[in-house]
Amino acid sequence: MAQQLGFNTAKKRYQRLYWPAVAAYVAVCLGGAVIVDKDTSPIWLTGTFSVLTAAPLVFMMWLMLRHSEETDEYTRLRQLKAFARSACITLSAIWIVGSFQLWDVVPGVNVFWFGPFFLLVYGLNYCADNLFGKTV
Amino acid sequence: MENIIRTLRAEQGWSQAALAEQLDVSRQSVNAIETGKYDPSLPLAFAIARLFGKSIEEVFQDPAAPASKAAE
Repeated sequence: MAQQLGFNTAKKRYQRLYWPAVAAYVAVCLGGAVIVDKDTSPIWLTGTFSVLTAAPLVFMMWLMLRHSEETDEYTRLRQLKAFARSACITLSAIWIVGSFQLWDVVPGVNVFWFGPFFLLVYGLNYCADNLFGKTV
Repeated sequence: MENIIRTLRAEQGWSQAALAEQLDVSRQSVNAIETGKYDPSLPLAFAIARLFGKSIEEVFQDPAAPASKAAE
């Protein structure tokens, strides 16, 4: 487990890796849109771009956890609370949509979109704590 | 837990951001501690007291403590 470094150091270390990861993600998305044709491209190419698209996002999740471990205690508490709440809400959404799919009530929903959904709920939870929360 | 950080900070003429910078915490942390939304850990409480040149008991008060004990 990473040790606590303080708010400013943790923020700098987070941003030093966050922006390159975002740049890599955007580059892969744009590259994929230009190079890959889902109908005609070979499976190895679409597979490679799938992994390349997911890799920066997985890396960013690890980065978020590392930042939580390194930042100051109050920021960590807020982040982990928001993380836990958004994980519960996203899992609930997955189970609800999954049940609908299981019984063929709704057609297939791309699992990919639960990722942005999680991050949206995380962001809203994080801000809501600032506005309404009594933490301890 | 009650505290007098806002008063001590005002005496020094520091903003919340300036105090946060010295403690290496976020400005929101200072605000949460000042308003009683968050009780800091012992290491952070010691750091705050040390910064103002006071003891922890002078900066933080337990509202549940008996009045007689608090007056001692």
